[in-house]
Amino acid sequence: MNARHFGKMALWIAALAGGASCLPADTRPAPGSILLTVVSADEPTTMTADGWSITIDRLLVGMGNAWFGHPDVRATGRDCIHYSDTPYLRLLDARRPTEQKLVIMYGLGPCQFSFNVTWPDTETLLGEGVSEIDKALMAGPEFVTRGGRPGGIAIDFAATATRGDATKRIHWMFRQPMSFACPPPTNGSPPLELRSGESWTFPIRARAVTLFADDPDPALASLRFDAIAAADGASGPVDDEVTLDELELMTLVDARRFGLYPTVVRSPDFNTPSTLGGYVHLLLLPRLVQLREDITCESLFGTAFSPR
Amino acid sequence: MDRVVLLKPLGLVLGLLLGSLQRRAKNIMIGGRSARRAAASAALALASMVGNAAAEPPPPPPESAPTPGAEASDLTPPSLAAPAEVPYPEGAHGDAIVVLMLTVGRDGAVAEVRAIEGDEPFASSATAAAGAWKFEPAQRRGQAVAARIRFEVQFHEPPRDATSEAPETNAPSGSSTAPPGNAANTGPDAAARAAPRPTEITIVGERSPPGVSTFTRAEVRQLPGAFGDPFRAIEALPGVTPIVSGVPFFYLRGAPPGNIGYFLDGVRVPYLYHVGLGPSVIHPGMVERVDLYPGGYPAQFGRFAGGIVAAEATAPRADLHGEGNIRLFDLGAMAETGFAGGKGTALVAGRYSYTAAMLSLLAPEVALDYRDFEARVSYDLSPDDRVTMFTFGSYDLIGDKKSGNLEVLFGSEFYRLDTRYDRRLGPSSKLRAAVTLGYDRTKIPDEPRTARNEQVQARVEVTHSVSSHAELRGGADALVEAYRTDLRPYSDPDDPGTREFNALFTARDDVTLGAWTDAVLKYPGVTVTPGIRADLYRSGKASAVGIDPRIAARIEVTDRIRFLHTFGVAHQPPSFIIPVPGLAIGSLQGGLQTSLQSSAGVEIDLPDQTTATFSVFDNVFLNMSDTIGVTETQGEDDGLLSSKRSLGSAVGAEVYIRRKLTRRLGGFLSYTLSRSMRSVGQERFPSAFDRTHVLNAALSFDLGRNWRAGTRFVLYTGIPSQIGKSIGPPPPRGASPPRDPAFYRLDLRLEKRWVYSQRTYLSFIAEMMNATLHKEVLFGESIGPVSIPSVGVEVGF
Repeated sequence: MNARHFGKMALWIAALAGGASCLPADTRPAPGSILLTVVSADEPTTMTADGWSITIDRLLVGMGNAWFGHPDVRATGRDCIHYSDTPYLRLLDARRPTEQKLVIMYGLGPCQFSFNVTWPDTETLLGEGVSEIDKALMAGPEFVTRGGRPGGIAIDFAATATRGDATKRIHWMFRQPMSFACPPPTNGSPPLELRSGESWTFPIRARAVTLFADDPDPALASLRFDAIAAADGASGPVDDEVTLDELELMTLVDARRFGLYPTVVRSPDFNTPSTLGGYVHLLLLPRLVQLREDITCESLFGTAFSPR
Repeated sequence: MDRVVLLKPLGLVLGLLLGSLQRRAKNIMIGGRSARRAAASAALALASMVGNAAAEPPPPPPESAPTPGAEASDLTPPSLAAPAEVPYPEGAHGDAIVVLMLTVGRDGAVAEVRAIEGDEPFASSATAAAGAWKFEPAQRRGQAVAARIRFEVQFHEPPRDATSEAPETNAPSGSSTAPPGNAANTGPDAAARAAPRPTEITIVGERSPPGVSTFTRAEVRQLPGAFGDPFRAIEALPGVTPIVSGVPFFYLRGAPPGNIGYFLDGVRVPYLYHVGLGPSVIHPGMVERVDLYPGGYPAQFGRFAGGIVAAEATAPRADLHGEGNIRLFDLGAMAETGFAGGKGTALVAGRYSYTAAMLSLLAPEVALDYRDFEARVSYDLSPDDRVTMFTFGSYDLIGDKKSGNLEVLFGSEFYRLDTRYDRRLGPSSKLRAAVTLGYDRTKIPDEPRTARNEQVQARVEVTHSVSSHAELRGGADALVEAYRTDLRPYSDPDDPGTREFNALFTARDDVTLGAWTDAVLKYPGVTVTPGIRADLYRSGKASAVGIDPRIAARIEVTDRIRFLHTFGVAHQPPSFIIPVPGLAIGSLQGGLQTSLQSSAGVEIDLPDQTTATFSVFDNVFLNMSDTIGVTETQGEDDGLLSSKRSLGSAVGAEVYIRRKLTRRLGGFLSYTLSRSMRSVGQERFPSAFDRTHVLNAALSFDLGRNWRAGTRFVLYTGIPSQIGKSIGPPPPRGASPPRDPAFYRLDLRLEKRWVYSQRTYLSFIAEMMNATLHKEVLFGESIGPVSIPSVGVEVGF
């Protein structure tokens, strides 16, 4: 060997260094996608069965944090391959009749997806017509300094009901976070089959007047407002402003004077409400968010599951 | 999900540990040669001096190679210029061993001799004889230097019939350093032969910089729980605060992992550990030593505000040598030889994990693979010129195989090609010029896209000895880096995490220019090293300048007591939570991080070659991007993917008492008492990984018959438990929060070595980290037990 060998070896070393790059490619095929949108299912004005005209003045909903679940592999023999979750929220004006994007997710195979209704945080994106002030109000007082972790307001709902000369206003701020699993993994519903390159769109319909139903079962329910109007003054003077606190003071037994208002229906968290406030909170609020008829979703209270 | 990338390295580390996916069997190459074959001479007393074989297990290198324990590479140990003889003491009986500590001056004369082991009258006989020995002086990079070396002298009682037996020499055969005429001392007056293979060399007057802690590989081999890996051993040094037991990322005097720079021969290494938790990405056989600079480091190191881990590769050797090992989950090998009459050397090394094949049987859905390689070729153009080409690289992959498809959970690779030219400029100056090409790539978890970095760096370093009292050093470099990240094809483009990721890790071209200089000023009893470096950072369209003054002082109070002081300012661009190839926060968002690091200590030479160091330190971190140190919630990565800034401080005291682990009985005690605080807004609280007490104690002992055992005890305080869960508001953080329980573990190591020739050996090594299977509590949850067993075989030649 001599000095010339140095040059040869140097070339080998350079080739070794230059040709060593070898991380394998991701061999997963192109996924399918699910686009979740939000659209209002309310009419500009809704007439109730007891003659009240309802106008929705405000419906801000914090939604998002969507993720793929894994249906029972034993049932399908395959697992859901998720390419990306969407760990972010939007604060949307759910009165808008046009579809607003919530998230787009990519996956493959038999999949189930979930999303949250919860209060906004610092990174929450604002929908059309929603302001930073709205976000700050709903995020709560800790929002500024603590990263939006504490409980804020998940749904900010305001409406005006009129009948003749009577006018009642409501402004209900629901702090209860909820999660929705579609289709639910527990009731034997088959998962969605996401195929490569296939795109699904699921409009999430926000129907605020659901909060005036006198039965959680849509097939039995009628929209009524008399019971709610009767709660005005339950705490404090009759001021034509019906608060959630006032609903809490009206029992379902009393409410049955105005409609069905069943007293034996259990909520998703297995509590049986006994007041009109609990009834609205536990039984009607989860039905404010609906998917299309062929997709069943299971709601879960008290959680704001994150895909992370 | 982009954010996952932040937690993946650590999360995977933990996940792998907990899931037993990463049952890395680590093993170490441990020396142990039969350097003490019984000497016998037919008619004469024959004492043999050998290179402290029992205390220094690895086979000794030839003269031209640096010796483990040397404080610098390119070091040629002293060699005997004439046969060394030691008469067998009159009136004595039996065999004996005497260990001498010799100071060999620049002129080759023995300036000082001291017996540190051995009984009388043998010790006096050896001491008296050694004073007359003549050496070729030690050389460091071509210059004669005084050196303190350790010799072992073996006395063997002469048999009555002096001519009936052939002499058995203890000297290693075939050594180029064996002095002429020393092969067999059979004359009636011959008493000893010297095999000049000192295994521990201290260059007199060239002590390590103040504040640095060093492990040689020879020591690391003996450290239980380090698995022979020099880079893993540094976690046992004072100032180091572990994050989780077994995970080789740590805080250093309050500085987070992302603020610690790793270098190999001056080349920056993007990360050190395969799949995030080791083994290291550099073959241990290539690492001569590892220095840990916890602060106030020399001016040549910059661009990191926390600390420096600087490894030095072994110097090129022209003789054929190598080592190999096979362990439970990987195998490695290294070999080097010379060519062109010794002017050139060529080295190859590598490691390969066959876990992929094994896991395919045990867990078909898991893909785990790692490997690394090193290659080096050097050639001496003249006695004063050397050109070297050195390349190394690493590859890691963790994947999830579903339905025949591979999803890359964590994949990373990097490659370096360093071409350097070393020239000696006369007797007192030297120069190094180098160009390094680099390529880094990381697969971003959950996504089929990658982040890449292509880089080229040119650097030059000059050292000039002005006089015996002053040495000037300086250097400059230019680094150009191109960062590229693929667009995320299957993700919601509105995801703030994606946007945040793209904003942080922008595609851009970075340019960094740096220059540094310092002077080593040596006065009687005092050595002061003032220095300064300046760096100009250009990232995207942003620019910043860092000016870093440094000073270190060593004050010799007595021969055995020294005061050590360091102070330094360091700047660093915003850093990721841990080093990940190809991922660096771009555009200098938030500005440079700044640290002010100071320490003071005293170093005391205790009896029996034991040294104790007591230090206090006070570090201040300004505008630091320690995202995991200020995290509010457990299990959430909110805010981690950001350049959130904080003010940090760390104060503490350190104790380091050590006796080289390569001695028959060696060990160390390393203790750190510290408090690392962070301030964000109006909050002031302990760092998320602040640990008040960290204790490491190790013991290594020679059991005889080439058996060696070691144990190590690790104890540290739990972290603050004020970090909240993901649901609900985190409570306000106080300055003295409750803590998770303390953690301790016990590591064990046992080695048996069989020596077949002077340089050929086979070792069986069993090692267990956390042999007591103790569980650690982190964020209020019990982890583990994280225990790593290792069984393996090592060969060397």
